[in-house]
Amino acid sequence: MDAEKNFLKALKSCNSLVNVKGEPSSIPCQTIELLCGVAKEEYLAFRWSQFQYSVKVEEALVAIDEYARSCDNWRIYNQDCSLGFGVKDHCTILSFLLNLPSSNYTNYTGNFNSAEIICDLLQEWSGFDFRLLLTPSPELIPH
Amino acid sequence: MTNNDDRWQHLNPYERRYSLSAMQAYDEIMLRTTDVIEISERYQFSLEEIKRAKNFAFGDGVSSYEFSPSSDMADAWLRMSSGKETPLDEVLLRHEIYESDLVINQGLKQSDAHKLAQEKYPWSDLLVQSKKDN
Repeated sequence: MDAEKNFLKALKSCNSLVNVKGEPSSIPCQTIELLCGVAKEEYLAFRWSQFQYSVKVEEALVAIDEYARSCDNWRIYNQDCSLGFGVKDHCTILSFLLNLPSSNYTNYTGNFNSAEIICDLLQEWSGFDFRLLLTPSPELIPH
Repeated sequence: MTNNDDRWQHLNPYERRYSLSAMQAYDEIMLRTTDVIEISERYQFSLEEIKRAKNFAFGDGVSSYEFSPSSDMADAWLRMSSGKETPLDEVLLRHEIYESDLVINQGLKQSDAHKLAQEKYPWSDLLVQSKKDN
């Protein structure tokens, strides 16, 4: 299914950040867009993929963390990134998205101080309300 | 000196709304007039070094090097300028003094200068670790 394929593509994209440490990159922003697309298309598939590929998600979070720590908050606003903001802001948002349904995420700039604020921004920008994914789906929790 | 009235006009509406408090903190920093001398005396750097680092990180450097404002950076500077600094804030100060010297006085590309500054004064690394430890 496309949602699962795109979720994996997003994780691969996160892992590619090891190649651009210490440099401005639109990869984090493009990955946010990809993940928003997955959630919009099939939000339960987003959640299912997080459970199914939890090990890969952890690896992606490590790559995001290493990239964010190496950067200044360089602003990215171009044809590949209509969101704007800085690369470390993008990493904060990716940390939020990949840690769902938990609202614990790493804030790399101090700019997005609550899950609610990130949800508000992403809803305005992408049209998807990630609050839907902030609460666990009982049917998807492993017994 | 930065014109605080229009320095954020290049930002899109999402950035202007969701980075508002960071933008306001940067503007507040640039309006402060006694911070350079206070920080200079506290950390034994020259006035020129502190002024250069301040302008690089919060003033003209923001547009010149395409930085997006960060509340963490602003908070650190505001603490230093009000005598409430933490040990990590000094790492940021030294990082910005060194990076701005490499860029402005020695002509290095900003991202290259950042890498070198990060090796000596890894502020963002230490800050993230500190957040995770707490």
